[in-house]
Amino acid sequence: MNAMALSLSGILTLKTEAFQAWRDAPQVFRRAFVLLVVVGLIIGVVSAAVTTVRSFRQPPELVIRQAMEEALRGIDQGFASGNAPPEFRRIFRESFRQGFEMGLRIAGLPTILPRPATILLRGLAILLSSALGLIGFLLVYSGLTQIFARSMGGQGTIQQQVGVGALSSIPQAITALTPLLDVIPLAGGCLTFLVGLLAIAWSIAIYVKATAVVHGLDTGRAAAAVVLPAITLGTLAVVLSCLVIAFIVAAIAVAA
Amino acid sequence: MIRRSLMQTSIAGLFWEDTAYEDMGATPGAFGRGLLIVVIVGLILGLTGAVGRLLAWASTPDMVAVKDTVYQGLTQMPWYSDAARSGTFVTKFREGFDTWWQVARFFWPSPGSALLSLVTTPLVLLVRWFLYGLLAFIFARLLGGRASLAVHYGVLSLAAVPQVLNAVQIVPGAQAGGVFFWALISSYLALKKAHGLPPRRAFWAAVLPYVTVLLLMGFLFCIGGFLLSAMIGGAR
Repeated sequence: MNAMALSLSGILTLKTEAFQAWRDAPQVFRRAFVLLVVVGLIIGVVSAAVTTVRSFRQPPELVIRQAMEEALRGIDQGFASGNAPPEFRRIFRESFRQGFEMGLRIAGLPTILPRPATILLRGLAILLSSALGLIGFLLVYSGLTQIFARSMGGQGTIQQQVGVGALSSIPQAITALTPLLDVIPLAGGCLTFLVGLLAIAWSIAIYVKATAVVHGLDTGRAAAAVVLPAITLGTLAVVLSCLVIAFIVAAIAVAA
Repeated sequence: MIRRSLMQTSIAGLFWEDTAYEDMGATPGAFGRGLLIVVIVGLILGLTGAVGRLLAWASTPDMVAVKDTVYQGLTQMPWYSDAARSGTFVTKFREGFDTWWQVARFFWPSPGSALLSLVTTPLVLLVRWFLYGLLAFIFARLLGGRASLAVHYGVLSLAAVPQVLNAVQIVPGAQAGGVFFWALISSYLALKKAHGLPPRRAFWAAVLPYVTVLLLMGFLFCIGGFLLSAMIGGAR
C-alpha cells in the first residue's frame, strides 16, 4: 500500500523512476486497464449518484417545465434585441412551448418497468459507461502518438504506450468533484471550469512524460509526438467536412 | 482443461500479451480454437444484447402511444394550422409522418428485436471474422507474411475478444468506449506475430481491409447518389 502511494505520488510529480517502473512491469496493459476502470468508477460513481438522487427528488415534469421556462426566457430576450416580425415571434414561441408540452406528455406515458427501476438503470448505465469510457479516447490517441513517436526514433511498444499513457487519467479523478461543485451558488460554474482545466493540463503533462519515458525521447520530441495527433485529427476533420460539403454541392448541381 | 487454457489465452489476448499470440499460433487446431473463441464471444454478446433490449423495451413507452402524442403535439402547433390552409399539405404531412415512424419501428426496442439479436449478433461477428480475416490474409501475404490460413485465422480470433466489453449493453444506455480501436490494435498485433511482419507492414495489413471496404462503400454511395440526383433531375 505504501509502495503504491509512493508510486502514485511519483507519477503525479512527474518522477522518471515511477514511470520507468510502470513501463517495465509485466502485463502493463492489464494494469493500465484496471487503473482506467478504477478512475472511471471514481468519476462515474459521483455523477451516477447525483443524477439518480436528483431524478428521485425531482419528477421529470418539473425538470422539463423548468427547462421550458428557461428556454422561453432566452427566446424572449433574443427577440427583444432583434427586429423579427411579431407574427413570426408568436408562431416561433408558441411552437417551442408546444414542443416542450409534447415532451411532458411523452415523459408521462406508462412503461412496463416502474419509474424507480428506470432511474436506477439509468444510474447504472452512467456508472458502467464511465468505467469503460476513458479507455476509448486513450486507445485512439495512443495509437496515433505511437506512429509519430516511432517515426521520431522512439523505441517503445504499443502496449507500453497505452499502458504508461493510461497514467494520464489519474488527474481526471478530481473531475469527480464537479457535479458537487456545480451545486455551489455563483462560484460553482467557475470552480468546475478551473478544476476541469487543472485536470486537463496535469493529464497532458503526465502523457508527455509517459511518451518520453516509453520511447526514450527528449521532452521536446515527446511533446511533438503528443501534439501532432491532435493536429492530424483536426486537419482530417476539416478535410472530411469540406469533402462532404463539396459532395452535397455537386449532387445539388447535378440535380438542378 | 482445454476450456480453461482457452479462457487464459483469450484474456491474455485481450490485453495484448505476446504469450497469447504465441500459444495460439503454436497449438494444433488453431482454426478450431479460434472459431470457438469467436462463437463464445458472439454468444455472450447476443445474450447480453438481448437482455439489454428487453430491459430497454420494458423501460420505454409504447411506440404507438409516443407516435400519437407526437402527431397530436405537431398538429397543435401554430405553424401547422398555417400550413394546413394549403390543399394537399395535411395528406402529405400524414404520409411523411407515417413513413418516418415505419423507419423508427426498426430501431424501437421490442421482444422481437431482442430475440433476433440473440441469433444475429454471433452470426455478424462470425461473418466479420471470416471476411476481415480473408482480406487481412491477402494483404499480409502480399506484404511478405508467412502464416498458414489456419494459424492466421486462429491468432486473429483474439482480436474478437475486445468485443466482449460491449456486454455492458446489458444495461440500456451503457456504452464501452473504443472497442473498435481496441480490436484494430489487437488485429495489428495478431498479424505481426502470426505472419512475422515488421511493424509498418503489419499496420498496413491490419488497416487495408477497412480501407478497401470503405473505398468500395464510398464508390457505391457516390454512384447511387449521382444516379438518384440524375433521376430527380431527369424527372423534372
